[in-house]
Amino acid sequence: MTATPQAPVDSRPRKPAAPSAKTLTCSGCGAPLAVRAPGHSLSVACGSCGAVLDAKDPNLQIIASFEKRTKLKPLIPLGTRGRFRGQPFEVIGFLVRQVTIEGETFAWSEYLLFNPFQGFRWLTEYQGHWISAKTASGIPKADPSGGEGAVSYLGATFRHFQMAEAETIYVLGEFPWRVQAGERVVVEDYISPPRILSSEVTPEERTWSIGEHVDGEQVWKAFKLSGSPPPREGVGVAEPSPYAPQARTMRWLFLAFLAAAFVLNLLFGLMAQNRVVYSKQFQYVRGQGSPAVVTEPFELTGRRSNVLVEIATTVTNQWAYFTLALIDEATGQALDFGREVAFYAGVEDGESWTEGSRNDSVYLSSVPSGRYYLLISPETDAAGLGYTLRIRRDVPRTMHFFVALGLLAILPLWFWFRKAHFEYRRWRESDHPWVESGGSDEDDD
Amino acid sequence: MSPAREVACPSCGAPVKFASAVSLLSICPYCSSTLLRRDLDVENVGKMAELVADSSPLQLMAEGRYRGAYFTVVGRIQVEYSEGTWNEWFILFGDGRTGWLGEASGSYTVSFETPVQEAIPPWEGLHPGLQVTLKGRPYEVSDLREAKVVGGEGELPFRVGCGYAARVADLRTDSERFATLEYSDETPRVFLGEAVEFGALQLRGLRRFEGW
Repeated sequence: MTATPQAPVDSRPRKPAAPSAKTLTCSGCGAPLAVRAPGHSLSVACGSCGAVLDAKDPNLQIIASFEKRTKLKPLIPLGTRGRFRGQPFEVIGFLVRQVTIEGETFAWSEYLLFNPFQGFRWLTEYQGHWISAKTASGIPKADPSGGEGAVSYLGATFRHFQMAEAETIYVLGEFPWRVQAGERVVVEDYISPPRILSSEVTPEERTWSIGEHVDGEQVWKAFKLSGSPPPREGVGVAEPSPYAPQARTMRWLFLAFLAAAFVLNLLFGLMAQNRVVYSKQFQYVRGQGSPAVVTEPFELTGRRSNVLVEIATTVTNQWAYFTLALIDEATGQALDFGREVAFYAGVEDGESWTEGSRNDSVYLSSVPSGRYYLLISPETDAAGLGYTLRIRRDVPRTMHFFVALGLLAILPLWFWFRKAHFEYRRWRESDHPWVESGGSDEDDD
Repeated sequence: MSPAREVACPSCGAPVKFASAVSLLSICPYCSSTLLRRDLDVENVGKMAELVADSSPLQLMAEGRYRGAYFTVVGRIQVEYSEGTWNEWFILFGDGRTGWLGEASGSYTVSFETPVQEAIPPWEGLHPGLQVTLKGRPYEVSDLREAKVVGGEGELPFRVGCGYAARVADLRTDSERFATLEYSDETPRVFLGEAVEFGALQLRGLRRFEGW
């Protein structure tokens, strides 16, 4: 290492020239003038003699010209200092950029924050959604695993959101380079909410910045602004989904309930009697007495539960209808029901076919325990009918499990729908909407 | 920023501040005179930005830490290219190692001249997007600059002449790691390093800025 005489370093901080100023004084009495309500109807009047400055006065013209050029007011006034994300920052620049997509213009604001040690940060605001960003030190690389155009950076995958040509339409304050109105850059956004990667391409270079969604309230608090931040419209490009943190819980809850329903179903199956309480074959021949039969009494025991009535017949190309009544021996109370079986079979064009079924079964639910008998009166178009009747008590049913499953699924499905709808609204603003917009798609929220 | 935006009130001499670079009016807190800025280019307000004062918070003899090792800032070269200027601060570690602390507009890098086995493409063969492998790791050329050394101070490993030109290629990755290829001598010099947060450097002995 050598200590050598070097070319001198210009180590003075390069400052803009110190401002110069003059006082506005009344030409009549020499007292200071006061500017009233700048931005509205501008007037400059003498606080002492009340004389009002003439509209042709050059000073007034400068003020009027300035007012005209500063109609677009930054929400955070230039010169505001605040503590943002743990560091002091001053708002030194403001610009408005816009993109035109399919004839529609969208404008957003960008605030430049500065700290002599930390450098620059950007705060952008679009429809009440704020993003804090800084220059990225690396360059993201293509990551096909995240879909078309996706990139990965610092271990995360960012999905391509939008590409547009942005034009600077308004600029106020200080910037590290000479920003000029009318400048155009191609902006591309990639998202991994709450983070966003943006690239800006000019003919000379491509620069990347990494940003993160910030709540408007946080910005207001950081810069001690009065009033409240602009209301949020729609879903912000990098706005974190309010459903994402709950999605896991929801999945686990659903799985837990599912397991519980399954175990309960299994338990009920084990506890059920599933007992044949009656089984008998009957023969009915037309013209030989009454078709109606009364069964012997049978005992239904245990808790209030179901009864399965199964009828197996021998009909072929015939039908049979059974009028049935389950009668409580003690009270005489009857539960009436009717069942029909019909079975047809044949051969057509060399292929055999069948239709209907010879057998039937029906569940009678919540039958109290007691002694019962069954009244059966069959009707049929056949000359004779043989059938077997079987009655089972307390039969476990998997249908209950599926009903429970369906009910359990309602909440997760609703939740999933909300979550998907949120993403749908986010991506609707992108180059990759889920549904190609057909001109009129009004927001339903 | 802020000290520059202060004027002495033409009426009473008290210091009067303008809130921002584009504030036209201010009221003297002492005599209540309304002050009108005379140096503001009103025609350009809303159309063109003012330039931020460019100044480095670092200075010679500042100290800091990098990956647990203490270093002292012993020298500096100031480099200019078409888009602006940046500083390369020559740093000396406690164990005698030397490196470079790059600094521009509040972003910081630490890099070390590192010999590599791989062949380095000639300057003419470079273009943005080109993939280059250095020490077995992939890098991508991000930009090429014709830089000019406009000043130097303190201790430096080489003699710096004003206007000394260097062709510099920046290579980056999808992480904080980066490489710089410098084509001033016959064989290109390779610097490998990474971007670092200001806070992580734990710098002391910095320049002070009024109001910060």
